[in-house]
Amino acid sequence: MTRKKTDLEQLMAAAGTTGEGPAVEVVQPEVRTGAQYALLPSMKAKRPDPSGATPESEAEGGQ
Amino acid sequence: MGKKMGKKTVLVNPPLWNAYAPHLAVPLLLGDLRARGYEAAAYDLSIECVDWMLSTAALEELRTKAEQRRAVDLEDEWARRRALLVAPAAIAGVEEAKAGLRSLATLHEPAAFHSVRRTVRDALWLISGAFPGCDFDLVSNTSRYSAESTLQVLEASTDPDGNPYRWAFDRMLDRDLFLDPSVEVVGVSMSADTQLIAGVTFLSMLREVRPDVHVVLGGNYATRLVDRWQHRHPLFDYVDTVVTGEGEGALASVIDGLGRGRRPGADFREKIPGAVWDDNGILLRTPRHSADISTAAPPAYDALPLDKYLAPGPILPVFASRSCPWDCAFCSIPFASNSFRQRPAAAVADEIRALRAAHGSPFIMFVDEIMSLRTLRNVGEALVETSAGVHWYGETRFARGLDEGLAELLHASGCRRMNFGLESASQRVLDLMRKGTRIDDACDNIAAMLKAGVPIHLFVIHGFPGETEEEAARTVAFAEAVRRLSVQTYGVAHTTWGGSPFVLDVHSPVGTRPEKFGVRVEPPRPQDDLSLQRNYTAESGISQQDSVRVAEDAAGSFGDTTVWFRAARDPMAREIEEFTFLRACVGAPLPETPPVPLFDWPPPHPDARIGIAPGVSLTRAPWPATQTDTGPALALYNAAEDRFLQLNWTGSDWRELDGLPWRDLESWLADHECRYLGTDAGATAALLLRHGFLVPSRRQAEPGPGRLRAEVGIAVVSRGDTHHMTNPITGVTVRLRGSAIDTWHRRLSDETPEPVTPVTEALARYGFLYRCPDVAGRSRPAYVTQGEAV
Repeated sequence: MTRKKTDLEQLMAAAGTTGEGPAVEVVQPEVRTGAQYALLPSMKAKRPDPSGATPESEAEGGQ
Repeated sequence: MGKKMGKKTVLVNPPLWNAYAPHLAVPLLLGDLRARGYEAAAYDLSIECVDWMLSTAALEELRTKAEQRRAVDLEDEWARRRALLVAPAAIAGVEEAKAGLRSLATLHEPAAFHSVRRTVRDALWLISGAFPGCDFDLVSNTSRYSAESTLQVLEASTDPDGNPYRWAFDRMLDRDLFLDPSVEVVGVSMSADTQLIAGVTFLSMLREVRPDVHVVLGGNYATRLVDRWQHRHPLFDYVDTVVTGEGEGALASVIDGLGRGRRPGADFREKIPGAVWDDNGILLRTPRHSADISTAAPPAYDALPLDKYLAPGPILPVFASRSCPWDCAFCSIPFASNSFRQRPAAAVADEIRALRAAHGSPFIMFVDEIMSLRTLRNVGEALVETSAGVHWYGETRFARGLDEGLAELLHASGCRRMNFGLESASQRVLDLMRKGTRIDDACDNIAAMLKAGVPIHLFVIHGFPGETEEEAARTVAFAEAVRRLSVQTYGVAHTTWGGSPFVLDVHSPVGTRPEKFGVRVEPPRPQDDLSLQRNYTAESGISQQDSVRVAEDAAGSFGDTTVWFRAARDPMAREIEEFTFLRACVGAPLPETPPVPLFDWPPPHPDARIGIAPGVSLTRAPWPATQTDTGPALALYNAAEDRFLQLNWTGSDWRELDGLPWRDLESWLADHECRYLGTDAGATAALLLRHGFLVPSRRQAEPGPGRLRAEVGIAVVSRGDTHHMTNPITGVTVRLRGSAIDTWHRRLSDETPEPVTPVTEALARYGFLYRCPDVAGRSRPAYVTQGEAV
C-alpha cells in the first residue's frame, strides 16, 4: 500500500537542504518563542562560550 | 452547614503566574469549597502585584529606587542605567499601555500594539533596574536570590531591596483581608517554581500578621518539591499542612478536621489523601488518590479581578481532563497530577456556556495537560450541540485519528489554536523520547488542522540526550517549513512554533532512570537544595551546552548580547500565546516588525536649526563606548522611535547643541569630541539625524536618489550559511542568506552603486541601508564590549 505524500512530507524533505527561507528575514521573536525562553540559573552558568559569536564591526564582518 | 459558616478560608495565588489570564487553581478550589457549603474568598496576589507594579505611582517610586541604589556589578549598573533611560516613557505611558493590552481593538492596530508592548517593556526594564540582578518579566523572573536555594529563598522573604515582591507586598498587600478574625485557614497554591520566592515572602508576612491561622500549601510545584523531603524543612515554619496532588475535597477535609479540634494520639490529617505535615521533625504523609472530577464544581471566576489581566477577554481557563496517560521521557506532569481522567463532555460544554453568560467572554483556554482524541471529539461535539459560541484553544499530541473530519469539527466548535508537542521531527529522536508519536501522523495531522483553518503551535525540544546536531537542525527546518506551509498553502497566518533546550527534570523518566537514556546526572550544588533540574552529560549526541546554542541559533539570538542597552532580554519579545490565539479569533494579523526607517537624510538645509527630539532621555554610562575612548559614554534613548545610542561625550550638558544651525553641528561635535563609535563628527551628526535624536527645523523638499550606503555600527555574526545582523540603535535583527550576504558585502565596500532590488529594499526598510548623496567614504568604527577594560 502506498500512502500519498503530504505537502508536509515534501517540505520536510526540502527542509534538509540549505538555502531555504527568504534572502532577508527579520528575526521576529513574536513568532519564534524560542528567542526568549527562560534559562534556568544552572543553565545560565553552562552557557556556551560566546567567543565564536562576538559582535564584529561591520568592517570586520564585511571581509 | 452551621459549623462551616462564620469560619473563612482565603485562597491565594502568589506571583508569579502568567499575567495574561487567570489561573484555574484558585477559582476551581474556591468553587469546590463553596459547593460544599464553606465560606471562602480568593486573592490573586499575582495579578494584583503585577498590576500594581505596572502603575504610575509604583513606577515613580521605582525610579527613585533605581536612582538611589548602588549597583552590584557592571551588568547590574547597565540595567540600572537602562531603567533610568526608559523611566520617563514608562511612567508617562504605562496606564495607557495596560489599557491597550486589555483592548481587543489594539489587536487590529499593529502600530498601536507595538507601541503598547514597547511601553510595557520599558516599565519592566524600570522594575528590573530598581533591584540588583533582577529580570522582571510577566511570565518568569529572576532576582539576586535563587529559587533553588532554601537559604536564599528565606533571606529574600525579608529583603525589600533585593526581592521585588517583598518591596511590593510591603506597599500593596491587602492586610485587612487576612486581619479579618473569621479567617481561620489560608490556602496557598504553588503551581510553578516562579511562585516560590513570592510565595514564601507572602507566607512569612502572613505569619507575622496572623500566627494563628492554619496555612495549607498545595499545587503542582509544591507536590514535586515536598516529595523529596523526608525531614522537616524550614518551609514548615510557615506551612501547617501540605496537600499534594489534587486539592478538591482535601482542603475541605482540613477545614473540617480543624473544626473538630485536637484529639490525643491522633492527627486529623491521617485521613486526608495526599497530606504532608511535620511531626516532631519527621514529615508524615498519606497516600494520594485521584479526585472524582466527573462532578467538579465550576470555577468561581467572580472572585477574581477579571479586569486586571493583561489581555482582552478575559480568556477563561477550563479543563476537560486531568493528568496525562503518556510517559514521555522528558516530562514530570503525570508525577504530580495522579491518574488520567476525563470529565463528561456535556458538563464541560454546560460550564463553558455558563461562564460565557456570567462573564461575557467568548474566549476559553483548555488547560488540560493533553486533550486526547476522545476529549477533542466529545468536547467538540458538545460545544457544537449546545451552540456555545465560543473560541477556544488547547493542547494535544499527534495521533493517527486526528483526521480532516475531526479537524473540521474542532474548527466548527470554535477551536482557533492547537498546541502540539512536536518535540522533534526525527522519528529516531521521538523514539528515544518514548513520545509514542509518528512523524508521519504529525504530517497528516498538521495538514488536516491547517486545511480546516485551525492555526497550530509546535513545541520543540532542542538537544534531547542522544539527538545529533543534524537531527536538531532538521527539526528547526521542519518547524520553519510548517510555518511557511501554513501561510503560503493554507492561508493560516497564526501558526507558530517555539523551542527550548532540553531540561532534565528529576521527576521525569530521564531523571529517575538516567542510565536508560545514556545520561550521567551531575549532583546539584549543595546550595541548590531546592533544584528539581539537573545538569547532565550525554553519552552521545549534542551536549547540554550545545542544546542552549542550538536554541539560540534557532531563535536568531546572538547569545549574551549585553553589549548594548537593548540586548536580547526584551521581556516582551516572546510570543504571547494568548495574543496569538485572540488574533486568530478576531482575524487580526500577527504583528510584523514595523519598518524602521532612517530619517532626514540627505542633510537638511545648512541654515536649518537642529533641535533635540521630544522625549529623548539621557544618562551617563559607566563604560567607554569604543576601543579608542577612555571616558564614559553618554547614553541616549529616543522613546518615540525606540532607539538607543551611545556617544562618547564627557562634557557637562549635551543640550547645549539644541538650536544650533545644521551647518555648525559638525564643528560643534568635533570641538566637543563628541562622536559615535569612533566615527568622525560629520558621520555622527548624520547618524543623530538618521535615528531621529535631532530634528531639523526644515527638511529638504525632495531628496535626490543618492547611493545606497550601509549604516554604521552594524554587528554581524556568521553562522554556517547565514549572517545575522543587528543594528544596535534600532535593535532590529535580520537573517541574511545567499545573495543577500553578497549584497551586504558590496554595500560595505561601497565601490559601485547598487541597483534597487527586493534585498536592498528590505535592508533599507529595516534601517540597515540608507540613501546618501555621493560623498567620500567614512571611517568604520569598531565595537568594544561594554565593561571591557580599554
